[in-house]
Amino acid sequence: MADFAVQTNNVTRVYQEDSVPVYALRGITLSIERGEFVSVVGPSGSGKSTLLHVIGGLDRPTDGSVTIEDVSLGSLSESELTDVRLFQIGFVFQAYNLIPVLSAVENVEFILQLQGVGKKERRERAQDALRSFGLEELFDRRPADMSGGQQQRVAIARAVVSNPAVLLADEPSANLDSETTKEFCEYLQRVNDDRGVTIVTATHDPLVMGYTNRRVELVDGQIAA
Amino acid sequence: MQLVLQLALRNIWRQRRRNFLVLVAIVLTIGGVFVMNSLSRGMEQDFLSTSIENLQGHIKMLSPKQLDEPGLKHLIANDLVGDGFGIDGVVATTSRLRSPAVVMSERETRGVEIVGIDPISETHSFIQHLELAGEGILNADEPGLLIGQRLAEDLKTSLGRRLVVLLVGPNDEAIETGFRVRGIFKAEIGGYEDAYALTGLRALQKLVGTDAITEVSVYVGDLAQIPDVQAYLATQFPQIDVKSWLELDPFTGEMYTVIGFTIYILIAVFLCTLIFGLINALVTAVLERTREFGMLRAVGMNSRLVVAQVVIECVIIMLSGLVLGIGGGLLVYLWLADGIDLSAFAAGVEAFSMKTRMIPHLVGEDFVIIGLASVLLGLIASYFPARRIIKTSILQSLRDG
Ligand SMILES: Nc1ncnc2c1ncn2[C@@H]1O[C@H](COP(=O)(O)OP(=O)(O)OP(=O)(O)O)[C@@H](O)[C@H]1O
Ligand SMILES: [Mg+2]
Repeated sequence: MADFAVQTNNVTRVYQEDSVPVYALRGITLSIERGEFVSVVGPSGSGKSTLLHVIGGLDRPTDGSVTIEDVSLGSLSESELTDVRLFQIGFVFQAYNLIPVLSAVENVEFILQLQGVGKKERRERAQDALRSFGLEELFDRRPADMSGGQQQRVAIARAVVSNPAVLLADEPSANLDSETTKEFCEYLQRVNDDRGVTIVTATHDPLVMGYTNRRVELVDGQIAA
Repeated sequence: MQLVLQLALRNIWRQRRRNFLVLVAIVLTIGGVFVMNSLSRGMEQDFLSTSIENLQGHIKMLSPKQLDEPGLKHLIANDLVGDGFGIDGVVATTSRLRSPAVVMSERETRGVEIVGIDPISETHSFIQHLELAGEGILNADEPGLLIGQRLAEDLKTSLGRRLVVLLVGPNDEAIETGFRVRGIFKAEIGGYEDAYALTGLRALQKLVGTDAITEVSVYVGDLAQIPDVQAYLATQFPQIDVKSWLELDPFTGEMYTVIGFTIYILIAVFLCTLIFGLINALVTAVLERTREFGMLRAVGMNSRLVVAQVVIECVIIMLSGLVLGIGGGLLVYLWLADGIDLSAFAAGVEAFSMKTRMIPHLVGEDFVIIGLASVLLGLIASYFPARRIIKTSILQSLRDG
């Protein structure tokens, strides 16, 4: 087994806008070791989100390759890619992470249910995950009855409940105030420290960058020297 | 799958106000279709039974020349009728001798048809449910006359009085006889009351000097058996005309077919209207949830499961609507089961020789058609929003919400 959770090799992503090509990524080569906590930073439009999408199997690169835990995504079918997202990757988006009609426990369980984990086991694991973040009081609450910060914390619990190879978070704190952002980052740090989950987060927020071990800076779709 | 069902149910509940309105629309449409359908079927039934009971039968056997030259000239032998011929499906047969005739009282003269009947075997015509004053025709030897209320009024006669009947005999001879009025009837269809003067079959045979009859009416248990029975009789009695009611009464036959056809068009039109409303509601609902579906797919839910969720939501609403709609329709049906009184339009309905009471009628086959069509259309309706989900990329969905 390699030591890298994520590897990208010369990844390029070109959007064809009215016959004018837009280069979102221009040859990104990046290796992220297991257990790293990486922030991807850079000005707006520099390609941060695009990089995360390509790593997470939500988008396919125009050129180059992406490898998650030794599996090269380029050769996978759509449904195989769906499985990679389900089993290997945890997502935390800026907002709308949770299913509105499900409670916190059910939201966390949802991933395990898709993975085919039995009823009893998944309930226990979901509760454990929430408990380990001190979120017991949210068990039966639906997203509409939680604050933004609470929702994001439940989203982390949901993302890591099945111990994915990498947790991807695109501007997860954009809607949070600095106090909540701090709490949120401490959660991320605990996930990284206690569970050893590899984390890649795109962010503008220096506060968030302060928690990470490594900073990857993008400028115009390229890694800045 | 259990997961998908749970999500579907909860999402239906989340949008309960809108879904309730959609449900109401479905219930009203299906209930309406159901009730209209049962009324149309009732009307169809009415046309049919009116035609059959008008001294017609499902099948009639008569001399080939009888229709061109009605009267006593072209008769058939009486002994060809056994007990229902012993044919499968035949529930009754009856013989009649009938002829155009003139009836005279001291005051008035009217043209009618005099019909000799055997009341014992006359079990399927309008004669068996008449409202009678006097004894009527009790057996085939009865020499008296049973006439309708309207004819009695026209002739200004009454029970027990004598009438003179004038008709042309089998050998073109004029026959003139006196009859005593033994009964006066009221019929559901007023037209019968001035069309017929009834008497005993054997009495009339004796009067005109023949053993023969004009016709045999054959009644079957199930309309579907008519062609077989007709074909069988035609081969058994090649020298006699064997006609179905459709051939004898093409106007009613047409009406019958048209109503049946209209019913299906009606069902189709209503359900299609419903389906467009449903598609509209569903597409809106799915568009609202684009971001949610994007998120579900992003975290690893197979697109097919996401689509299944939408389809199941749609089918659940449709099925509930179907059950409630048919339930509601049944209630209305039971409420109307005694029939709707149309006597206010008596003159109008009589022009169509309909009864003055419209009685709804249920046809099992129509249940199945309405049910299957609704479910099928529910599936078709959910196809459009489902396709939209599949066609939108995950990133697109996440951006759009
Ligand atoms: N679907 C798309 N079609 C066309 N161009 C796109 C699309 N998505 C992104 N781009 C372009 O690719 C470039 C990189 O976009 P990306 O969203 O990755 O930037 P970002 O660094 O995440 O920006 P931000 O900080 O604003 O989130 C931009 O120039 C953007 O306009
Ligand atoms: Mg971005």
